[in-house]
Amino acid sequence: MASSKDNKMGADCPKVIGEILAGRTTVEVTKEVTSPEGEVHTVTETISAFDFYSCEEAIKRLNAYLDSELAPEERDDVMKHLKICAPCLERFHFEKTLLLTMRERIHRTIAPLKLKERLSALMKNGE
Amino acid sequence: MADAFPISGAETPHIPTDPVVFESEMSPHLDSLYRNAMRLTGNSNDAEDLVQDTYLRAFRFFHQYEVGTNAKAWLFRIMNTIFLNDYRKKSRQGDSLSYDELEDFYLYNRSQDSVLSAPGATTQVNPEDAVLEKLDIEAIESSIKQLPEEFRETVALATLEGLAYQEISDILNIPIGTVRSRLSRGRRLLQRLLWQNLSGTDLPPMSEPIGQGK
Repeated sequence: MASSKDNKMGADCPKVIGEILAGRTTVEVTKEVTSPEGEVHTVTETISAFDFYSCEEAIKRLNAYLDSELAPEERDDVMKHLKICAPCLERFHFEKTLLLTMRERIHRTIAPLKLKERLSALMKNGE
Repeated sequence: MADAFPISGAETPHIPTDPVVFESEMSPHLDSLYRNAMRLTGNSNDAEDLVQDTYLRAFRFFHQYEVGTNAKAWLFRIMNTIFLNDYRKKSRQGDSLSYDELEDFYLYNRSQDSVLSAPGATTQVNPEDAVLEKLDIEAIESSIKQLPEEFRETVALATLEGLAYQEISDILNIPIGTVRSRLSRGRRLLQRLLWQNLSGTDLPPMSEPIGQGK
């Protein structure tokens, strides 16, 4: 199971990921942080093997990422991966859009009016 | 957990519920309840009955609802219990597929494939958008319906209703780790079903190594 996943993910992801993971290089990225006073600053952070997810580790967290169930540090680490790895970013973006699209379309189904009226009447009579 | 929630307790002392408070807390979730009932029962008659039973029980036990907690999750939990006890037909166990072999990003990968297979088409729309565009409510609903029962509710509650894992765990009375593993497999399977419903093709065999982009 793991092996096929490795192959698949390795295929189109940037070489630099392997280099970072192997500790041969580091990459600087910028991110925006909001201060307690509400000001937005741009800070530079260095991505190194120390806290960098491989594609596989990032993808393992896809569902929790989509559902906002990641711990803040984990989420940061996923975001770091996505900053470096354009193919994963594109896939993650697709998954997020897919989820929101499904949710939005399915929410067009609503309860029949007569059901709502019936329930409302039942409640008014105190059950 | 069952003790905290005496579903069948007709003899439980009845604490009067204020209909106005009840309605203002609960009625915003009626549409969600109805959708969930449709998914569970598969038809609108049973769905309406299930919503009504859920609503009446919620009304009766409203004193147990903690104001400020998620009313939707509370209602879903009541609904799920009533469904299991009173509505559920004997479950047909799906054939055991090896879900672990399901590919990640199935739909995304197929959308990329479809570009490759139509080289003449110089579309302005990107292939992912084209897939999402085709995703209508019927395709989504029938794909959810086709999911094996063990995955269906977990996938729907997280994906369509946006409930937290802990809430789903409480509603379905399963450990949170089970929520995670069902989602992981169920969503991958859902993407295959979506693709099947969109493209009108049958599922390729599970073992076929697809989308191993070089």
